[in-house]
Amino acid sequence: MKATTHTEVYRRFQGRLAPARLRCLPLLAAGVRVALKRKWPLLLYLPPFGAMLVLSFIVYTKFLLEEGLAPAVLTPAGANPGTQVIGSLAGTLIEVHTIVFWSVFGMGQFALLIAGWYGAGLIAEDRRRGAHLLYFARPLSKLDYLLGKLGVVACFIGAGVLVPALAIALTAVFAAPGWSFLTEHGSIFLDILLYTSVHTFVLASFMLAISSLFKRWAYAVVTIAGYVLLSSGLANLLSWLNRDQSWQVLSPTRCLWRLAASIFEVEQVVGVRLDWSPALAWSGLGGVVALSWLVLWLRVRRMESVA
Amino acid sequence: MSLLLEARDLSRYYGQVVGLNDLTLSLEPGVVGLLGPNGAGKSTFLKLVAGEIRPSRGTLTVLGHVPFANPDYFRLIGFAPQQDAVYEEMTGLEFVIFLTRLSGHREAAARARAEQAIERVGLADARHRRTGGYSKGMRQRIRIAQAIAHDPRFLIIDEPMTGLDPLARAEMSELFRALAVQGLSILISSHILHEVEALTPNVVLVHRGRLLARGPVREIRRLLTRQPRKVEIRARDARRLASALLESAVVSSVRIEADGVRLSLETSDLERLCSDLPALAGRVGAGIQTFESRDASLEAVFDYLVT
Repeated sequence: MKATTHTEVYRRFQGRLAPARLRCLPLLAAGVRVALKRKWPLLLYLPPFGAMLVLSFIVYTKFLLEEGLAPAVLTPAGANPGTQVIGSLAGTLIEVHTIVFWSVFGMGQFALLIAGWYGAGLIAEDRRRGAHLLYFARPLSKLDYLLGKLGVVACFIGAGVLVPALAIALTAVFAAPGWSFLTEHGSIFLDILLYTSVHTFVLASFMLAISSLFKRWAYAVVTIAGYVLLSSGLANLLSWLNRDQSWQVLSPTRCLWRLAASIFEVEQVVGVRLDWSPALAWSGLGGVVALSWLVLWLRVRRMESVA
Repeated sequence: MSLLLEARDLSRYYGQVVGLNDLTLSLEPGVVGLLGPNGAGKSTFLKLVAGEIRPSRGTLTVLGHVPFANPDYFRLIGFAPQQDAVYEEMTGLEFVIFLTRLSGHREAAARARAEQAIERVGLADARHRRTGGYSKGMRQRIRIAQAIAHDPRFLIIDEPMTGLDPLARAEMSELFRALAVQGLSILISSHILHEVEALTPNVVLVHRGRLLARGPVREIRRLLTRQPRKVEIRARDARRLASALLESAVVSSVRIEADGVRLSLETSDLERLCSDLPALAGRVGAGIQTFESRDASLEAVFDYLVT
């Protein structure tokens, strides 16, 4: 076959290419940028960040009360009932560890919503639009693709769980006299990092795996909500029937609770005793992650033939 | 001249479905049209060439590389899939920058190249608009822009004319011609035969996953000897010319059209008819005004091949 529309054939490549490392970063940056284009879903952060302000204020007040410096507005003689409640909570409570646990426990529930909103469509929508055809015709490996997508959902989950917990701990650091909190309880920062990393990784992996199973964002959201509710219900039922809390391992959210309780040294939450083996919780979460990545790997491999 | 593409016994199956079957083909650099009806295997072939999918059987070499999952190869190609693979929340410029970065260019270089590519496809005025608000033609253009922005040597385009109005098609054809003149090899798939015919005489015809024919359209037509060639002649005295033509051994039928000045005839040997006709027309004083081979078009050739 003769080419007749041009005279010169191969054009020399003149671009300068970056080494093929961290190719997932442009994907991550673009994913975050696209997600942030819609402003109203950021309202999902309103409750966690509102709770963060209240809890930080409680911590601040706790240290003021310990020093006998409570402002009049927090005392029973003060005028505002809301601030009186905070004052009494701060007076009766509790270790900062426990407040941080409350924070990560509460934010964990919102993290599910955040993961659902920002993570459910990440792979599903790529499959629907055929965007993966654009990605995989570039020097981007499937692992890069998965890491880029994981990074996007992890950023949003992490912001919802890590930032409030860190803010509370930092409030304690600055409110405590003579940096005493930092010197005596500085390890709480490592605890926060450990827990939020595990929480974020587990939830993000699980969310992506569900997303890879569908071509529609909404189906993935419904599936993850259904799975969380059913697994929690089943775990509770079997625990009750067998009089054995170890069955809670069936629910990833209960495993996360158990892990948080173990890391922040809390024994029960919302009336549920968390005295089953933390090792079991680690195993349960490990299983969820392993299964999620197996699903992801198989699905992303299959993306080559599904347009 | 080194080959652009070489396929040997290339097959791709999707479970029980045969996407492409035993395709053996070699292409030289240039513009090549890949033609066939819907479901013929064009997109499968393009995905194989783009390295998106792995052959089930046989071998494929493009630009001296095995395409599948080959980052070195991906730097040399630009792929514009048929799917509407754009992120609707991004602006056209952001979209092209993002994909150019995935190809390995740094931010500043990617921006410069994206600006150039967008200007090239005539979308400079709309580059800051969200792609969600683009018309179908603009989406096609932005897909072409992302495919050429990283300066590839070989452009693979799947159905670029689909859904475009005639003006947009003409502009798109003009763009491909300009790219070809610069030395870019282009493999373009389409089921709109006349558009491809206007772009390049070199075609590959596939049907039901098999290679039907390849080469310049007129050459292919010449090989179809069992099909008589259809010719239309416009003459001052069509009737006298018709009676003279019936005496020719190579003319199998003649019909005078309703306007009385056009003849439609079928011949088994077009070359001999062409050489005999001037003398024949001169003898009867028919005054030939136009002579047109009616079935040398790609559409006619394709019809002959598939029926």
